[in-house]
Amino acid sequence: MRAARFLFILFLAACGSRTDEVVVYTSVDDLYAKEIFAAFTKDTAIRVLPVFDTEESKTLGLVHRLIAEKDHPQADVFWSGDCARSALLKKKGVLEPYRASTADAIGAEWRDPDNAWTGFGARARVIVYNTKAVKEPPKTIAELADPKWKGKIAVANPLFGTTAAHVAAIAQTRGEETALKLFAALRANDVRFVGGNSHVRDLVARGDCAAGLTDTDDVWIGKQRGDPIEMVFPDQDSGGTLLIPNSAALIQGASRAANAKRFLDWLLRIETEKLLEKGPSRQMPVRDSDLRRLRTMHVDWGRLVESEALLDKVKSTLGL
Amino acid sequence: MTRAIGFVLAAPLAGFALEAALGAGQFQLHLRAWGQTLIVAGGATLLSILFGVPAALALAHSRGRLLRTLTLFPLLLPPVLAAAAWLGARLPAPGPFGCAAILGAIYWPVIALLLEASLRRIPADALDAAALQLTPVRTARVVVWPHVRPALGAAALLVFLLAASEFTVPALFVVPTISMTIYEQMSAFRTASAASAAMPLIALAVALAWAMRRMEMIPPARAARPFLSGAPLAGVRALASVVWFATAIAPAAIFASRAGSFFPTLSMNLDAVAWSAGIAAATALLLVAWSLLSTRRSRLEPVWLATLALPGVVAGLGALQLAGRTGALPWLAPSGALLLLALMARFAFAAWLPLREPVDRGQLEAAELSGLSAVRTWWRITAPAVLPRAGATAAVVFVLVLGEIGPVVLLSPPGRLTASQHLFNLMHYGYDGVVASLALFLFGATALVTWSGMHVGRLGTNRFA
Amino acid sequence: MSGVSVQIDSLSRRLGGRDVLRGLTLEVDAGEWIALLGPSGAGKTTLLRTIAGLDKPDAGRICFDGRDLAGVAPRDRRVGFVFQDLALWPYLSVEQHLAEVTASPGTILDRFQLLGHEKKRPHELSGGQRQKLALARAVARDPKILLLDEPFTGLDPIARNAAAELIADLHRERDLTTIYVSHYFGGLVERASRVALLRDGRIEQAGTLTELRANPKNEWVAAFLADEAFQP
Repeated sequence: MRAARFLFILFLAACGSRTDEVVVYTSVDDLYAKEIFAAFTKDTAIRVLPVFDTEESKTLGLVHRLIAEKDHPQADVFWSGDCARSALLKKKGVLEPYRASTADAIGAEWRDPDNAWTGFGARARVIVYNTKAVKEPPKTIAELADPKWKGKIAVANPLFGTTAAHVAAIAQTRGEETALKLFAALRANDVRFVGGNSHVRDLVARGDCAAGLTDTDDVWIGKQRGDPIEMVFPDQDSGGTLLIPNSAALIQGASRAANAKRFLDWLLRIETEKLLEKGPSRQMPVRDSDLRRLRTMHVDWGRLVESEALLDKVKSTLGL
Repeated sequence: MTRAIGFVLAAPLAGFALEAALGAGQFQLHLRAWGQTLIVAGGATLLSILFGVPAALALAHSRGRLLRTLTLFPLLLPPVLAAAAWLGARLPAPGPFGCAAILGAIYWPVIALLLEASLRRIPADALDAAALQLTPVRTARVVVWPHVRPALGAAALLVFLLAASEFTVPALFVVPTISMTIYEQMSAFRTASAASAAMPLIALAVALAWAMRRMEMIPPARAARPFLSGAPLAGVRALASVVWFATAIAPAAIFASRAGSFFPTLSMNLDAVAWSAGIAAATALLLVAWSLLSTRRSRLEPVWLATLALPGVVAGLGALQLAGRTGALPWLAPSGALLLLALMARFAFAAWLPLREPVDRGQLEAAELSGLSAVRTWWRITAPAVLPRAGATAAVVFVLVLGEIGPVVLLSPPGRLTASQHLFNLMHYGYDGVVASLALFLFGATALVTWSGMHVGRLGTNRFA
Repeated sequence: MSGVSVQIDSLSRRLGGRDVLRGLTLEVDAGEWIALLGPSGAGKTTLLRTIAGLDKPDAGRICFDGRDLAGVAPRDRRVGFVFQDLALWPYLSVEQHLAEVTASPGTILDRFQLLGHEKKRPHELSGGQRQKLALARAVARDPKILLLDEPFTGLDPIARNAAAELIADLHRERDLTTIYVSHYFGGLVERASRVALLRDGRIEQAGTLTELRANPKNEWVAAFLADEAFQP
């Protein structure tokens, strides 16, 4: 009888939530997310159980999983490589508002107004160019449609990922018609649409294309391995460059809420932003005063979520 | 019990259908996407036939396990890896024709293995009669071709389905196929539109399952009777050698040359490697056991084939959403049981078909009339006939699960990452050495499991010819 | 030991869109040897399979010694069946075949002249030896009725006669009700006490061979019996 009781308690303990764990769903690449998790565990003795997305399923992976698990959440924290996904999850009622005390210095333009998510460690949408082939790189996105770049520009599929976010951001800040005209002009200029941002970088590095639109982290990774590429922050004299921060959020009904809050407090510290800045993707701390010298697009991420109709129009304009 | 399991394996498709019925969006024809799909999947099918037919003929005239193991390698190669290599090598036409070429080079083993099974069933006396009177060409036309036509047709349709549902390669080459459309619509939560895109694929799967019910699956009681010899056989072997070299040996060699520090890489990624192997082995063993214990054909076969025809991530989502709606999620998800179920559902058809009716009905009837119990009949009559195929089937399922990513992302318990997922993510960082090591691990695991699978099948059966 | 009597009453069976048996009625006495003849497609094999319980009739009934067999499993009917293609088990040796069916395979091996071939598998036996093995397996369990479906296909005349002798001996020793199906043959048809002609799923006429030849019911029966193949 005693043995049975003991076994039953063991069983319950195994089933129940461990007090030294936190489950983080992240769409950030596992390579550098794991380093962050290891550092957190070293500081707090809380083990992180991650669930990663893959490039293949990034628009149909974790977001849908979190929504399907809404009534029985397995996750405690969602860490995304952008804000659009977090904004979508807020809309679907998956997130719980939480304001990390360590994130007070993060400006209002980088967080959800209801504290459903907080932005940090940003990438930028940039024009990457081959330094051997190009002496005077294009400085604006519109310039990519110039006939002198005909057939020499690469852009990732504008229906997915950060390129889709970029299209939606241009539509929001400059109008839908402008966005559609811009991409139609790119299409007319024989732009090469490729599968992903890293692809754009590789084509430019190899010299198959002179320039392209990609993210800063892709450029930094290329530069570190010796690719002859450089980048330009576009539209500094007009609409500004799009910055896409990471975002972190607390999951509604998280079973390890206390650990989740500790993780969010740790993730949103300036020290973590510095870690991300030093990492291979060189993400820019949003608290950094240097960032203010960059002209950036002011995007309402919440409204960006509603741009499905726009993507349909892009699709038919570009024949994708 | 096996029937109940069969119903459970219908869950992902049921989940997808439910979300489609309840979801947003509307019915559309998606003609443009279908046009692209016809080029990609049709081209892949043609190429698969071109590669698969000589390989099937060579396999039917050989006994070794090596060639059969090599035949499985291309199925294991993650299509996106091949696509990335295509782009890296700056090969021409990275559009629908490039997609077709890559998918054809990956799916030809389906044609080869199904066709080989049919070639081994050509009645020996029919070939003998032909040898006495007909030229080899006429023998092929009059005896061989009518016999293998159904199997070739079914295999071609299966390849078409698999190629149509593959979307990582079209995504990389930005070719808007129907699988991309399903994916886009699901991403936008327009499940009804996704269902309208998936409907023809599902209908095709149902038609194929119906056609395959009519295909005899009984293995020969003797080894294949060779009907090729001399120059034609040498020619076929030469062609098949080129195919094996280009699609199996060369990729393995390229990975081996770039693998760098293979063992350190494996040891650093041991948890991913172990988890991958564990999940793949569990899925393969459970599916094969279920298939072996099921004695009759099932009306659910079209459902299982349709699940295979859907993009993996969509099937995984169906399972997840159904589990969520039925409240089963907290029980099934944390342990990985839901992932296992979804993977089993995904590859149920691949485990089911090869193990149907492995013995002549007459032998089973003779056993019944002779008073043997069902268990004894299975053990003494059916098992010796089916075990070789069970081993090979388990190997194929293992290989397919190893390379699967879609459901894994959606259903893996927290803290678990498979080797394939990791490989994918690494590709974007250009960690070629690590990618090559992990790909080599996948190949090595395939070889080991296939070899063992086929060897296990021989234990206790003493192949008599 | 002796065989059962068989009562087949208005048996009907539809297969593949065709009425294979159409209200067939036949009575076989206990221990009788009856030969069922008829052209291909007449329903002979289907009739045997239905008696054995391998096929279920759509209408009508089959009784052994007056006992209705509806719902009785094939295993429980005590039927010995020699299939047209023998249905031997390819992975079992001669010895193993018989050991699955009886506790004393040695006696049967001797009786059927299979001693010396115990370890061989079916594909290692000659045609005649395979026939003997099939027959041995069919009678090893002391059946009450023996059903033989064209058992001599592909045998040479000597082997055929040897097999015929064996069956005749068995019938005599055990007084085994024997139903033998053929579409063409001689030696065993003559030993049968009665012949029943099947046509389009029905018994066209039944009786001794002499009676049938003397008084054929119609032209078809006359023509069938006049066929060269039937001249003994």
